[in-house]
Amino acid sequence: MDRQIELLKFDPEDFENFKRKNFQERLKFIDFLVDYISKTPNKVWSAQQKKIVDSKGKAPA
Amino acid sequence: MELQFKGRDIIFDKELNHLDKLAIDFCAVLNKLKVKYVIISGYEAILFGRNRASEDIDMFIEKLSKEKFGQLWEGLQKEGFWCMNAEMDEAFSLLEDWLAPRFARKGEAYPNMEVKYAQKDLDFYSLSNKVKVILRGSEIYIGPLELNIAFKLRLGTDKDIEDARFLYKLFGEKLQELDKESLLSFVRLMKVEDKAKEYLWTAK
Repeated sequence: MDRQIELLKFDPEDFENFKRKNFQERLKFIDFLVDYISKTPNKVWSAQQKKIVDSKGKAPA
Repeated sequence: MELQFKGRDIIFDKELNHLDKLAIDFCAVLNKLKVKYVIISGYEAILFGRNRASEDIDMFIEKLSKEKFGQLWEGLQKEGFWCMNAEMDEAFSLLEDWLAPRFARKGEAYPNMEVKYAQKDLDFYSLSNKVKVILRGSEIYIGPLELNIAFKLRLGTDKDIEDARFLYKLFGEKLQELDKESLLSFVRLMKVEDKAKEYLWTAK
């Protein structure tokens, strides 16, 4: 198994580029979200937000 | 989005998620006891629609006497909260040491309220310039959005920058409700001009 892992390629520079690109995409999504929320009734966007936020759930102590 | 502004107050209605409910119920105890507090950081963005989960809600409170803290403790217990990381005396000591007792609903660990004393200039500025939000008829107080946006840029993780961008785009560009001069002052104070230029001013 270790031998198999050693044969894999990982390019740190390529990974950093991926991270940058991914972050830029996320920022674009934030802009989309703001645009959507500002044009959408509270009842509609907040019902969708509730699904996302509540999906994280609650952890029992 | 329907938001009503009355001076600095923001009045609005939404479907409440479990973070909203936690904030409302916890703040109700503080309001009843007239303890000054302000919710800061990530929940400010979530409150207004940022789609992300969080394990906690951060809050500053004014410094309390031991007696007043005892009343707060009792009030929280009565309303179904427990302190996850300390008993009453230890929780008071945590606050006095500028650390944070965390309160969750009984039987749960998160989401929780992370409570700290205001300690630094910016914390006291937040307390003095808090914004009242009336959410479905319940009062909660949040820190000034301008300060939070600059602070988030200063924190600088991807998540924080996304929060800053969300609040700036929503309140600064769409709603035109940000005090741009204050925001600029906070950006300069926290030395995040470059980040503001990259992620806020020129963001298309």
